[in-house]
Amino acid sequence: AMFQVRSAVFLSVTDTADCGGRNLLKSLTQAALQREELVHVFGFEVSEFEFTAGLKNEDKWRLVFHDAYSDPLNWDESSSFTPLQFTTQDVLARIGQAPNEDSKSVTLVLDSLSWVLLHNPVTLVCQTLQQLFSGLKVKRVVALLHTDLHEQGVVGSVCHLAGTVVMVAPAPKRPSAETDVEPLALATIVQRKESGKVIKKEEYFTVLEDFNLKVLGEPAQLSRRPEGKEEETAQVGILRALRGWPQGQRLTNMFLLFFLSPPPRKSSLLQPQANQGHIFYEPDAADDVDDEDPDDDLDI
Amino acid sequence: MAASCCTNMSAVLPSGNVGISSTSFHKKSRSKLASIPGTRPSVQNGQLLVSTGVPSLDYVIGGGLAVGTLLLIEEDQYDGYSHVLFKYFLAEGAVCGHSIFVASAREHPGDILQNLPAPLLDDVVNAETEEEIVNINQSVREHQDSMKIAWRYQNLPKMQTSLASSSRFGHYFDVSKSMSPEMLYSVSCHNFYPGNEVSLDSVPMIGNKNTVYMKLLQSIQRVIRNEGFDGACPQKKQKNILRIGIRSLGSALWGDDICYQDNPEHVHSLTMFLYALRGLLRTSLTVCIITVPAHLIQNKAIMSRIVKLSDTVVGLESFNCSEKRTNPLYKDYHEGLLHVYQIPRLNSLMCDVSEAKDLAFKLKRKLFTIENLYL
Repeated sequence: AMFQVRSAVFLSVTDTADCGGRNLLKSLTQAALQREELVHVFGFEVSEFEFTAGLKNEDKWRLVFHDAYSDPLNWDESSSFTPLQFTTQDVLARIGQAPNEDSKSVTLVLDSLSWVLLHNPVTLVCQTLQQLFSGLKVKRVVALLHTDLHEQGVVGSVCHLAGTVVMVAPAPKRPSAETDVEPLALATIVQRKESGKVIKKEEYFTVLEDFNLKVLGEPAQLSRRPEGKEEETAQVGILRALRGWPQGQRLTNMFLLFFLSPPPRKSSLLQPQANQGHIFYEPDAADDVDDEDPDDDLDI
Repeated sequence: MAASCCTNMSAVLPSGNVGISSTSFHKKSRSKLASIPGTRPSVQNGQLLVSTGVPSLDYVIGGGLAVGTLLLIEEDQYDGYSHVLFKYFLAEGAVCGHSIFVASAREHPGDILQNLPAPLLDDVVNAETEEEIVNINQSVREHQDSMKIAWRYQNLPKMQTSLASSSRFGHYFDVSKSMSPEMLYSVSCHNFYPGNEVSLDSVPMIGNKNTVYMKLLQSIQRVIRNEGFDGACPQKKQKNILRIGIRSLGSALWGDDICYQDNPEHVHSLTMFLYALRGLLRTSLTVCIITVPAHLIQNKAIMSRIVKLSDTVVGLESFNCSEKRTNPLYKDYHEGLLHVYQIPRLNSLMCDVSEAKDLAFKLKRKLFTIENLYL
């Protein structure tokens, strides 16, 4: 499924504080560069040096970095781009400045969209994004979104707009590693297709040193048995604890087991019932049966 | 007298009717409205109905969608299947020759109109869907014939899982092929795309009213008045029906903030729009379908107000994206659940509610079926 994300028009990578998505973002950027596309990166969170570190040198000339990190709010009057300038006209003007081919092959990478959402009204951001990826110049928009920083509705609204959403989460630790590379993260990919079907897939992946993406299979294959074992041990643990507890012994003895119940009850239940009800009555101390009273003789 | 009745009846049947078992017995209808192609009077209360494009959905909502009412679809999580239903509705309108009005904020309406599913028509009757329906009928008949001992139960109908109305009032579409442009030439289409109408720099809200919604209402009103759907200027040609489709209403692209804020500033803009829209619908020959991303609307009170202001409300929930049900047993046969939240009571005291409450839907290439979910 990772290969299908290449054809996405608006791809949103959402991450949390537990597991960052920037490595995945860089890996996607590198893949775009290798495909000979022009990539415009709008960086709000990391500097140009940090973002481009590790990417292959021969492709770097195709990457244009718009620096909004050094002076995001224009305090020094020296910034080249601020979050408030994220409007369709400004973005398109900036893309038009750098030399590019006429064909529609610009990939826009936003690192991160959270900065833009925190400084602009959500409706404006959504409209801008929609105009960008349905316009003529931009082929694809890849945005990083930190779900911790926004309300659920905001994340939902942006992902509603996206054709593909990749949710990055930390992978649960496995007791035995079959491969030598431990899985870095779990990606849940949701992709909306033309025919209307929505596909959801979960995969483990790692981003290697040279920012290539390695897909490591699906969760269902890897860990099923450990979970079952854990459940059993929990139940067994409770029973063991109950047995060891003195009061527990008394409580369990209070419940009369079926095979220890008095014989008439048991035998009556074992006989085939023929639409009759048997009433077993054992007279207790409060009943006094008077042999001379004619009413007590009634045999009903 | 008899001759005029016959010609009237031939106009009643919608074009493109594929009859497996066409009888010569037709209901005599003397009302003038029934002569609009693609419509039929309801058997329950005589209301004029149009098809939603999906015959099993027609059955679930009581035979079809009444003219002058609003169908609200609560979208599934990523607007996959609800968009399919939206396209079916528009495609049905194109096949029947109705006028179409499409309003969409995300995709340009022109793109939506180019990607409508192609209908399966008479002359190119496709064997597969025909076979499916015939197989269901045949299996029913076979079971009936084979009862020798329990012959008294022979005439009881076998449980039908697929719901379909008996007469071919709706059409079947092939989602993988798109409708040929020639079919759309004769149909008058109107578009509304917020990006064209409202400039980006202007504030979406003026005072209490959402300008995008206001412009949409004005545009709809203009179309209704100019084309004579409300009887203002008497139409010289035959009366026709306007089908309005509005996609993802209430999302952030329409300038509305109910989808991303718990306490939105402009709570009533969408409800005011719906109220005005329903007034327009009731006084004209129009049918409207609206899809709303209900899962994004944080405030439940708003959603319940929206439901009350609509007539028929249907919700889709796909198994793929729902966190609640991940039982693999569900996924084998069906792709999601269909919830019917509200059915209107039009000119009657009670509405026709089907007994089956658990409905599931399945989208195949040529068929969108809604079935009872049996576990």
